[in-house]
Amino acid sequence: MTRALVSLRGVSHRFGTDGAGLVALADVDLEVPDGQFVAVVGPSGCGKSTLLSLVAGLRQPSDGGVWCDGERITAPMPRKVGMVFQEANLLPWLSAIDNVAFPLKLRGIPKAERRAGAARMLTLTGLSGFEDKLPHQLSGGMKQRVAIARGLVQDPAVLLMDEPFASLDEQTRMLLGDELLRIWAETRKTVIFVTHSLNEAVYLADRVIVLSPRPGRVVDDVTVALPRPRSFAMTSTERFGVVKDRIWQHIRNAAHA
Amino acid sequence: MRRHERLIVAAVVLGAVLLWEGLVRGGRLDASLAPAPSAIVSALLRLAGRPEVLTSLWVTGWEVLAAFLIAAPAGLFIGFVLAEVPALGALFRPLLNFLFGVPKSIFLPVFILVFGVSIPQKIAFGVFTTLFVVIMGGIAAVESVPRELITVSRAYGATRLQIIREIYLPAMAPILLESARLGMIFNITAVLLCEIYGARDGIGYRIAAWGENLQMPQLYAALVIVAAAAVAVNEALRAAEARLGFWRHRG
Repeated sequence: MTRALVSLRGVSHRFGTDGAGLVALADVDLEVPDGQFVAVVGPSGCGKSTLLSLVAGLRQPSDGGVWCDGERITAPMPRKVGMVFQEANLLPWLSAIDNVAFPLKLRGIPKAERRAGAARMLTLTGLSGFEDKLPHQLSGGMKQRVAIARGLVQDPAVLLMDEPFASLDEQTRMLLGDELLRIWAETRKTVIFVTHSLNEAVYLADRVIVLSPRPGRVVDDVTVALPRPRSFAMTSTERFGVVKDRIWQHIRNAAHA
Repeated sequence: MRRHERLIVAAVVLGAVLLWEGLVRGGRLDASLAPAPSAIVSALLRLAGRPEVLTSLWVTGWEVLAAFLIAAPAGLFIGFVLAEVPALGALFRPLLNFLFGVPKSIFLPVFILVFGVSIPQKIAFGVFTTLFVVIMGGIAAVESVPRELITVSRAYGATRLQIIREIYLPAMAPILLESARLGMIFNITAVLLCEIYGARDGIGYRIAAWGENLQMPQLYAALVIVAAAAVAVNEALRAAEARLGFWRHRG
């Protein structure tokens, strides 16, 4: 296996100004190799999203540290880490292409150049022809494609996804899952994907990290040994069921504990 | 409005004016209370040629503009601070809500005591009246900024200044213009009230004088001028609001 691109070492996170508040994460160690697709699952409120915000540099861990590509994360590193949120969170006054170009604008890249980059990303995410549409003219699934394009526009090594399909209907969610796998196969990003859906986690990921209820700890680290490219038919195979069942046992045990 | 709707509106207005004219000419409407539209138009043309009337319009326009230029940025700033600093907001917002509901005209005598019957008094009262509207608008505008967009911008490395320029300003612009428009309506009302109540010049002063002397054509002509000016300001701000708020959902 290749070197770890993202590392969390001894990471704990407590909310509250003096760190005396709610403990969201406790002593999490995680090494994610370059190019891996990792899903993070766990019961509601287990700190999955907190974990992502630590890698995004939006929060600092109370203990331990987070590294990306050998550099300790103390602030957002947008050129190395792209992020996609549960809601598309597009800027409603910008067209699709300008939304995708927004991270480049923040870096002061000239308009023509950033639009060229954004147009490539819209093509990659299957949205060519929709460059000039405003967010309210796009469907939920299309908005999320724009958000994915925005996450990839700086060609970051890591793409963080915080339940990106949770507010979409099931069919759109499955179609976008396949789209995401195609994009991932083309770009070979390291993806950390937080989700509530065990099906989604097993279907998409190389590896599933299971967190315990709050405070979140890593209770299992499951390798998904299904071949690529994934297909819908695999979801009814025995191997798929075994992996999903193993994860489900943890979630169920946690609920009864 | 669609084309045929505009035509209907124009026809109704024209019909009403013609009916009015006919009623006055037929002796059914008292010309000393409601002079015929033709008499109002000829008064309007006469007034437009009199330098003292133009000076009065200029004085009022200047007072309104000065009050607005003071009240709008000040109100915005106060609204921004109250929305962004929770402690100050908790302290002052109940007081503000209370004062917002009080009719400001009852304070007019106080302004005359402090400033005398003067142009600064008109401006100060205009500011006082407009300020509350703009503060409320400023608070609403800040609160309309989606917090998630700030998180997104931070994740993509935006500086504080960039967050203000790229997120706050465009998100707030339509609501700010809307509150500027409302503020302007209150502002014009306040300045005219001041002038009618007591002044040495200004179109409100002329309106009061014509009214007291029962010079109805002049009075109505002045009403037409003031109404036209107010509608023009209102529509200009509304057009700007629509332009900057093109991205907001309609319907």
